[in-house]
Amino acid sequence: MKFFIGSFLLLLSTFQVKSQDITLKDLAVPNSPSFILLDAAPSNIEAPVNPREFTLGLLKNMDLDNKFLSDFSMEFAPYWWLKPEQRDAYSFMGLAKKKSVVLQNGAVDRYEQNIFSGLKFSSVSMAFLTKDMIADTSIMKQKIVSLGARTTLIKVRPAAFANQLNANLIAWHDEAQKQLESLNQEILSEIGNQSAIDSLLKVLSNYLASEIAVSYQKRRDEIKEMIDQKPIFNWDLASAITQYGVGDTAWKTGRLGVWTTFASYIPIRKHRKEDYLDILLRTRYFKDNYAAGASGKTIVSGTFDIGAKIGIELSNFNLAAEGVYRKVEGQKDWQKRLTGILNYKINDNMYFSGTYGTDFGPQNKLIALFGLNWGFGENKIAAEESK
Amino acid sequence: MLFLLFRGNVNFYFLVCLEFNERIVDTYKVGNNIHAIELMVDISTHGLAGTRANVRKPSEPPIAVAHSRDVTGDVHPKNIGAANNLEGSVLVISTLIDLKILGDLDARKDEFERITAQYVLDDGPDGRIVFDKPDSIQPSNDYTIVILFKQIQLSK
Repeated sequence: MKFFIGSFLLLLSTFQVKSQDITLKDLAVPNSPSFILLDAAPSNIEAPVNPREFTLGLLKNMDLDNKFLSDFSMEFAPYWWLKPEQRDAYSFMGLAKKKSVVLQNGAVDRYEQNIFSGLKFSSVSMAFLTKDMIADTSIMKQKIVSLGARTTLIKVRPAAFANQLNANLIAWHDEAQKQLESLNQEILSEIGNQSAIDSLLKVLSNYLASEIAVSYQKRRDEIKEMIDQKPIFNWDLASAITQYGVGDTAWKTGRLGVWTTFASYIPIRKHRKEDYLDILLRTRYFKDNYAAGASGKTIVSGTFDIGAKIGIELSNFNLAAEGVYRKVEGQKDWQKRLTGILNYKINDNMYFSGTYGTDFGPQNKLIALFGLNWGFGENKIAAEESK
Repeated sequence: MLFLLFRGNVNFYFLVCLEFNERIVDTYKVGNNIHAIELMVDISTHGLAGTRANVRKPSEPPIAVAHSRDVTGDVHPKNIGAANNLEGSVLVISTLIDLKILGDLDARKDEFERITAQYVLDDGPDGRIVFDKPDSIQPSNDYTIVILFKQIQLSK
């Protein structure tokens, strides 16, 4: 039996299934605020990119018999629906123009980081489902509507980030100008022959997208690597509220949550930009107007959590310790949860995870969770914020 | 493009598609004096963008007349030459856009749909003319690279 299990694991660890479309991240339980409050992962999550898709999503999922949207949820950032005047790579990367400097070969703009750039990508989430969320003796399901929002209030990069990124952007731009000069020369020799010009554009676009364009791709990948780096300080805020359809017409607030996370990701080694020391501080207030009480009755329950997590994040391994203290309204003592978390990436498609520690509650129950995640595509381990 | 439907011998129909290799080229009157003509390009995208403009007179080598200064891909108002020198030339403007920084294929396709470009010529006899569409928008197969192309005939 042991041989069989060992062989199976070995087979899984060496079996490379590549897919461009599905990743472990795609298959993970969503962490949108409106979904977290529901204790459920909706089966159908849409991400409309414009108001038309939003409206179509609502219409498509409308259950006409119940006059309600059935098991439907969506998350979107309204910014992507708009067409603001200043839509450029600098605003996407969080750089703001500081000043223009006149050099020998002309004026060059200097940029600095805009620590509030994450605000514009704030997202809104909503979920609709039918579920029994009231902790009483009745098993009747309610119509549930959950609305949530989350944003990054502040994102701070290392001091040298803006200048280094700007230098890489200038290098990319110089490379692009070389490519465009050659392209324009060829186009001008084909003027009047539109199909030849279209072929030139197609050949160049596919050439630059391929790995053959080594010099071009190197410039672009340096930029991508920089903007994918984690910030040295990050402040996130999220909140959500759920409404329960009690009876045919009455809608009442069921749950309400607000939580915020302060995170610092300190690079451990200069030459390996995916290795960090992670320090996270988190607080959360959660209120449930229909929590389980004594003898089948519901009570109003409020909890306040404050906790911290510290960990080491390497390319294929991370280890963290987390402590969360909880104050339940009406109770004198604080409860605590202390856990150690380990993740190890066996290969791009599979990783092992384990959690060990004590949970909330007067008896400090033991937590021991170990699992193997197997997926498709290339993934890296990241120390995610705990829920 | 023209579609023609022919009926064959035994109830077979043939659809013939004729693509005319001609596209109406935008024209801008530059006049025939020593006044300088100004070009401006406004590219709207979150991707990395670079733009370059060249002109060519018949039987003369092409010359670069304007380019973007940074990865916005915009060309700020730029003098591209005197009207009497530009008369009879062809102006081509190409923009290279890289969408890899936007993320996965879906995000790149969404951004591709949002790309817009405006080309403005000014100081000719007709004043300021805005050309609000490129002639071609060519994405690579994986939507990491997009090339925009605009051609404007500079006439007297």
